[in-house]
Amino acid sequence: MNGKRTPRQQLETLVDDATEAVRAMSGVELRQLIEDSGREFESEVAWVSRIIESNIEKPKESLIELSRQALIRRKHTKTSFKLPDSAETRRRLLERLKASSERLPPSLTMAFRDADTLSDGDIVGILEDLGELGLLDSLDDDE
Amino acid sequence: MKKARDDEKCYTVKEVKALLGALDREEHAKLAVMARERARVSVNLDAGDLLNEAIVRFLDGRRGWPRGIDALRMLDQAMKSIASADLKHQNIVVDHAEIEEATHTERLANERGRSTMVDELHAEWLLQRIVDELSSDQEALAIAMGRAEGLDGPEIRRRFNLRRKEYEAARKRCGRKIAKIVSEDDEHER
Repeated sequence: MNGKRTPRQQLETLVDDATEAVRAMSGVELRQLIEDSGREFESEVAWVSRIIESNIEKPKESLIELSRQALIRRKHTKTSFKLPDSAETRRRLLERLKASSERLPPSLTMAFRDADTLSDGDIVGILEDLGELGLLDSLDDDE
Repeated sequence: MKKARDDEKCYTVKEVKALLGALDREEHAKLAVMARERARVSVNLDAGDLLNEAIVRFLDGRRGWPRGIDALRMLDQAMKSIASADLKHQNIVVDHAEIEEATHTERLANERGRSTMVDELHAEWLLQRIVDELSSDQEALAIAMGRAEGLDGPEIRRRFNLRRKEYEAARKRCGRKIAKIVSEDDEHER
């Protein structure tokens, strides 16, 4: 024995052995160890689960990944919303949106301030834009 | 190219997340005990800090996780390094404060990386508890003392005249006893 090791170094080595023993323990031995140390098995499991989940569920995506996901969502929204078949229903839909304009961004309400003068092609374009933004989903359900 | 090579040797972040997410309840409980044990040799970090930091280091790429190595071993190694680094940092901070009034001899001791007095006393106290706990099992005690002094298995067997089977069995008993002592709640003791 060389006598050069500090108590902390000695302890560190023994803790290595202790963690190795824990890794090799059966479920019964482990439960007994935890209970002998004054803790509850279930709360220890829950404690570690929380630490792991808080890390692996945290979004760490890059900007490219976030953009890619936004594009997928946008495409999905675009295809999932179906515009009404008739020009008259499309115009009524736009008027309903205008009446509830608090749900729309100001820049869009500007676009159809004079809805009476808009052609059906203009209305289709506006509705498609709103649909892509997901602003027609609730109205779609109402229809 | 380097990243591709690293990906071959180590798990990707996505794979690490999957490995961590696949751990079962028993493994969670083992990690809890191991984190509490590692925290006994740390100064500033508690068990939760150690485990969290270990996970973060694998996820942010500061530590690589070689393929094929199991999660408990990797997380334990990471917690050990973090606890050791924390202690070294603590020593540096204390040493700088002490150096102002240190004698030449003390200064030399500081430069050699002397641990703080409080930490060493705590470690000594825990070592004494381990000795007391193992006093009725002479083989396990011999192994603990040999390991504490940095001896390897063959050297311990030679010095204490232990057969391989005796050594393996006693080492298991020793590890379990130490696990019990160091995982006990130390909030009222420290």
